[in-house]
Amino acid sequence: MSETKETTPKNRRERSIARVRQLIRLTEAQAVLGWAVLLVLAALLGAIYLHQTSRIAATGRHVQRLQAQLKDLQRQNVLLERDIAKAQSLERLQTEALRLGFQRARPDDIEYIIVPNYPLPGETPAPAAPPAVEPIDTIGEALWLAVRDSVIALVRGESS
Amino acid sequence: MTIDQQRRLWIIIIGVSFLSLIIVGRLVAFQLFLEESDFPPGVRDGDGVRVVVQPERGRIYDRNGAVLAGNQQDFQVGVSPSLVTRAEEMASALSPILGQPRHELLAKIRSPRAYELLASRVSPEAAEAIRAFDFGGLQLDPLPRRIYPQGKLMCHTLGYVTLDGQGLAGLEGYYEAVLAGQAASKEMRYSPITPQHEVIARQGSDLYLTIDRTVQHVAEQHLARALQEHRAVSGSIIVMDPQTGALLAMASLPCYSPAHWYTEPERLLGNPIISHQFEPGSIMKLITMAAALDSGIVTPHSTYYDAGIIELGGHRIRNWDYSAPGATDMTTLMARSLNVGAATLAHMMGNETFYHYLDRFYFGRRLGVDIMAEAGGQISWPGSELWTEADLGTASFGQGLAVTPLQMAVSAAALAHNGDLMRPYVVQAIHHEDGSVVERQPDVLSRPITLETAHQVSNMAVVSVRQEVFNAQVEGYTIAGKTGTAQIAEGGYYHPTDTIGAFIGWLPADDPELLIVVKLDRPKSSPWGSQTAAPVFAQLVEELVVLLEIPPDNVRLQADIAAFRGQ
Repeated sequence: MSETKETTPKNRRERSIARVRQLIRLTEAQAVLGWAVLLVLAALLGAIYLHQTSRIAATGRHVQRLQAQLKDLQRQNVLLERDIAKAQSLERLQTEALRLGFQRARPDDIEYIIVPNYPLPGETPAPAAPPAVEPIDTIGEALWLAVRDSVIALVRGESS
Repeated sequence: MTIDQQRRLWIIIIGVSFLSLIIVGRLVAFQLFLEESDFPPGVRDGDGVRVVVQPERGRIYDRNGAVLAGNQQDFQVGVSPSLVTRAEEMASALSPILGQPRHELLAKIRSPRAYELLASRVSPEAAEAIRAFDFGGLQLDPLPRRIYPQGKLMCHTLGYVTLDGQGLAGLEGYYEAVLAGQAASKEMRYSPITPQHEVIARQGSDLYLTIDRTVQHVAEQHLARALQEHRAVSGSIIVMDPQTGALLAMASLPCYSPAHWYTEPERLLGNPIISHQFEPGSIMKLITMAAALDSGIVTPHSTYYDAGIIELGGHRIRNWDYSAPGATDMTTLMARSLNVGAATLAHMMGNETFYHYLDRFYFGRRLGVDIMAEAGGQISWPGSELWTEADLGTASFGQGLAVTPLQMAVSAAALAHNGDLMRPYVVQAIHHEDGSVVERQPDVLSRPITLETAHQVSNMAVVSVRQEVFNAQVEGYTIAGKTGTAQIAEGGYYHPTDTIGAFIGWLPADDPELLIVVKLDRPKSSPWGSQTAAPVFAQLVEELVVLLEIPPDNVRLQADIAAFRGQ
């Protein structure tokens, strides 16, 4: 009985070894867990990075395609502008006009009409004269006109 | 597992982890933190490419917005042989388009080199046809080309550009800095994950001219007809607004194609209106008379005695028809274009006064028109080595001095418009890429004569046309003008038969809207300007008054009366 309770040096060493072994086992489990966490984090970061990179690459390709399309449209635009300018050349217009039966106008063919007070280029037309206002003879007329104007302004939303 | 085994395992794990960390660290550094400067020269060659974006050259429009000069893209065709998969098919397809033998093309397509040039410049239509085949390995690089949709119209005024887009003459040359824009370049990477900053060049600005292409077209048509009818070697017509100096048309024939200027004879490339100088002949009498009246030497009612000959500096001057009209007034002097009368006026003014007026009219100086290669004319000034006393007399009727047609137009415009010498100009506005617009304002160069003198000379010019130049008259319009027949100096002598026929006129004389100069070189039908140039003027005016809506005198008078009554 006394043997079991006695702590001999041999027993103490064995107990220490057992504790160390237990500790090592715990540390291995923690290490596995730690490495697992690290791996997951690395994989996550890699996945995010790859995802972003692929998105950027796809967008970049899209931009490049649009730029190519823009260049193509600009090229077509230049061609169209050239064709329009050629179609509007005087030689062609004159040929077409003559073919359609138009003739050159001579001074005798022109009839001028004189429009009184017609504004010349650069002149602003004279403002129209305000409508003639009949004189107000009585207080009653003045009051009636004031009331009428107020109602009209109210209806038009101009009332202050 | 023994403790020893575990220890070794740990060593391996730590070693591998350390190496992995180094590799990952280097990868991250390469990907994110390295700058261009961290690489030794040449290491990243081929990784990117220097992209040069050429600006589009500014267009040139007439006053109504019609395109006179524009751009198109030609293409350079090349091939990267290593990328070609269907060499035989490609050679067969390209041969008729490029106009090259199939076997030659095939040899280039199978070349061991990285790049082979197939055609240095093809049209956009040819490029479209090539593009439609969708061959791998073909490369089409755009090359700008200047185009002139109106063909040869106003070729001398527009000028031309080289194949690499540099303006060399006319407006293209004068406004090179404005039209050309500014190229931009940048190192670009083909990697799609590298941010691509767009390379933006500063585009050339557009020019809007004072020239009306329809007026120009009509002027060129009349000039071409006149050259044929009078069998003249060449000729010029100027149409300008005398009140502002704005040029509405500048026609010179023979012309060249601005798009293919390099195939034309060099003698055609100069602008006769601003660069070629000639002895103006009797149209110079307008200036002599203006100087005499303005200096107060004579009045419109003064008379002189014309004996048919006058000797100045040992040089005998006679009238063109050898007449001796006797007592003659100033208006008759002008109407009959008397050389003796003009020389008499110059003699009365003296060297100082006469040449002072020539200087005030800008003879012998450039006017500063906005077209490349303007000449200033040639005058022997008193005191210079070449000057003699006789020059005073001959210069009074347009001999012994050289002017450009534009100088004559501008000086006559001063007579037509209040005595103000206006600077001639062709560009009305410059439209920049950012939307801003620079408008040109009329510019007075000098005031050589007074308003009163201008009116007096203008009235004399009206009488001159009415009495003597029937060919220049247009029904319904009061025209002021002067004919000129100039001899041609060659090798120190005057040509025995060849002349230059000219007419300067403006209308309506009391409020001029148009000033026209017609000049025909070496006409064979008649040596006289009144027979050759004056009819061209009248025919041209008949069309221009319709085009430019200039009503006849009676209509203007009625309109003035109506306006007066309405006030």
